[in-house]
Amino acid sequence: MLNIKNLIVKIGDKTIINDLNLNVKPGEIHAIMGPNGSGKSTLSSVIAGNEDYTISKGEILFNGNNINDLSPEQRAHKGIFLSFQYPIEIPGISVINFLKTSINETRKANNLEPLSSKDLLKLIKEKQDLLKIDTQFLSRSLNHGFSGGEKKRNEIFQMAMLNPKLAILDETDSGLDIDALKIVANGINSLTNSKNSIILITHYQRLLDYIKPNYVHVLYEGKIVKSGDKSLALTLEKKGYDWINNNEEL
Amino acid sequence: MEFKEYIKSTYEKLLFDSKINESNNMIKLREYSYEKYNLTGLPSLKNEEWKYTPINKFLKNNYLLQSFDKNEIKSFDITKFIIPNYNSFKIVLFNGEFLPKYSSKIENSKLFICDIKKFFKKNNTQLIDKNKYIFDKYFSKILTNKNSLCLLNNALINSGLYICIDENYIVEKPIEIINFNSFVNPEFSQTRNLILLKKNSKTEILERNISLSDSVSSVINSVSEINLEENARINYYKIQNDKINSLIDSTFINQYKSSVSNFGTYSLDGKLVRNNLYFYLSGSLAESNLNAITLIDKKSHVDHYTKVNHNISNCTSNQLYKGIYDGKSRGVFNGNILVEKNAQKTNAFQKNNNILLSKYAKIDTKPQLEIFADDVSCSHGCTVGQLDEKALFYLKSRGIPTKEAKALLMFAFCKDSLNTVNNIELRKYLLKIMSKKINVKLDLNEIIS
Ligand SMILES: Nc1ncnc2c1ncn2[C@@H]1O[C@H](COP(=O)(O)OP(=O)(O)O)[C@@H](O)[C@H]1O
Ligand SMILES: [Mg+2]
Repeated sequence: MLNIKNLIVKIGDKTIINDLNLNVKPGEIHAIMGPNGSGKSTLSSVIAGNEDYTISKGEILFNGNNINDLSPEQRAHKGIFLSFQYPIEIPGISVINFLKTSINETRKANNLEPLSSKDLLKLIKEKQDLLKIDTQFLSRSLNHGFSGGEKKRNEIFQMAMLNPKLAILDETDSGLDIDALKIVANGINSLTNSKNSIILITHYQRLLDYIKPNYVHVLYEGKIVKSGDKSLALTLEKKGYDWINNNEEL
Repeated sequence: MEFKEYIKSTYEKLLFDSKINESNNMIKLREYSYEKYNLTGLPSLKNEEWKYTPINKFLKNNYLLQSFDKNEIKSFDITKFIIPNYNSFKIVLFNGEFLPKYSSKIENSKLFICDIKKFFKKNNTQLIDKNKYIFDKYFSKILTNKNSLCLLNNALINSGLYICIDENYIVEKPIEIINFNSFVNPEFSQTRNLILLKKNSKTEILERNISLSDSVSSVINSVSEINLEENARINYYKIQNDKINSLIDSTFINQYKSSVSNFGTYSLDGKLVRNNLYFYLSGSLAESNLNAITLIDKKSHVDHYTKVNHNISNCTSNQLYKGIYDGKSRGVFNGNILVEKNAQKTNAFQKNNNILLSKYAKIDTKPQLEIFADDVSCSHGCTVGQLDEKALFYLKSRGIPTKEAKALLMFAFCKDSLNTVNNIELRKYLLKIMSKKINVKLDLNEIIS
């Protein structure tokens, strides 16, 4: 699905992602953990096509094709989805209108007819129930004045509507209380299957109580310094990240 | 011949005819106004109110003043220009001249519309005395002598409309004034409207300028006077998207007690557009709402000048001006609020927000508040920015292509102003022409819902 080879990303002269390799196969869930500032959001943004960053070396392959030069919308059309750590507030665009435009532009790019209003409403209803979203929520301005929890839930709602092949969830769990976390985790779980993949970025192992990753990676100073299975997350929770600096083994 | 000479000779010719055909009042008005005009001439850049708009440059001497024999109007097809589902009384003008033949027949004694020139004539017995009385009472009474273009209009008017709505009458459909412009030679034309809404009456007026020629560009100097008697209400919309001609529009609105006016100015094209909106709040509890959207590109130049005069206590005014500038376009917002000493409990608000889409586009914004009363609530604010890059990335990451993503942000930016257009069909039409302007196809019903 996603294969990142020797990726180096810079902002100005500053190297933020430093020779990173990552291979995510269909059906897999990968968790990426790491201290603040280690480059997790940058990596997510770069996979989604943010043009603020320049790839100075390496390649990002999606289903075998190099996507380095694709625009964010082209990547979305291929099935890449990013749940933002900080979703953007856009007053004046309603959630529903945004969703409709997003879905139909994506369908158009894939040579599909636009969804009829009826089918769209049906789909919305189904996903709304999944994420326990109020109908009046749909007519509000996109993320505008939403609480932290509402914003994150709205991100996963969009993911559910768009049904991406690869979803990158950047700290979707932060800012959620335990009930909201359960709803969101439950939503994410019901969206996973053998054909799609998820990259979970998180600080806390708490989310991993609900969503079971196949792999856990530690990102540090733009590099994956350790990979392992789910138990690595537990160890990180106990020991923190100081061991990396001290060149210790876990 | 110099432009000045043109004006002089045109004026002299016109005055000669006037002295034969027109009433004494009219002759006096033309003479007085011409002399006053002549003291200053056209406003130069040294004039604070015209600092950013070089009107002289636009009025190079290749502009003729009125060719007095109006070119024969060939029959043309107005259906092409109709706004879908906008059910209105259509008042068609051709180069400022009212054409009853193409206009809706209005058989209604409470709504009176005619060619303004009828009132200029000497001993015109065709007119009902009532309207003659109204004309004398209101015509040319609220113009400011400081605006030399209005003086010139006084001196040289020869076309326009008179509209009067009777007491308690609610006009059942909007009145749509469609001004078709098709000049054989570049002209500097002078049109003039007088509109009166009597007590408790209500109407919507839409004014559009459409050029039929795509090569001859003229300058239209249009002056309107609107009076709202007690409790009258008007929704007045102007759609300015004439590619070819330039427009200088001066509109004066006098409001009596508890009257409400909602003005919407939508400037979407034009070489030069200058809007002067003068409000006089002369009766307590009167309310004026001024909304505008400017969406221009290339080398268009749109200059908004507003002046809201709070002359009496307990009135409210709201100005909301939105501008989006692309290409090498240029915008000006010069918004003025004047609160007189005895206008206590005034509410006067002004907001001007702008987005520059290109590094060559430019906006000059200049809010001015003069407040002489102490118990008032006034505010103003202006912003100039770009489209939010983060928001753009967010939309694009959801599969919305750049052009459409930008369009969504632009419509979102204009939304509060668009939503003040009460007539839903008109709102749809505005969105349609705005979408066409920025070349996107979006589901418009969704945007405005
Ligand atoms: N747009 C940017 N401009 C400058 N520095 C940036 C930018 N984005 C990220 N960085 C820097 O890159 C590093 C990684 O940031 P980020 O990817 O947000 O880390 P994380 O998500 O792991 O907390 C930080 O040092 C941050 O300051
Ligand atoms: Mg981050």
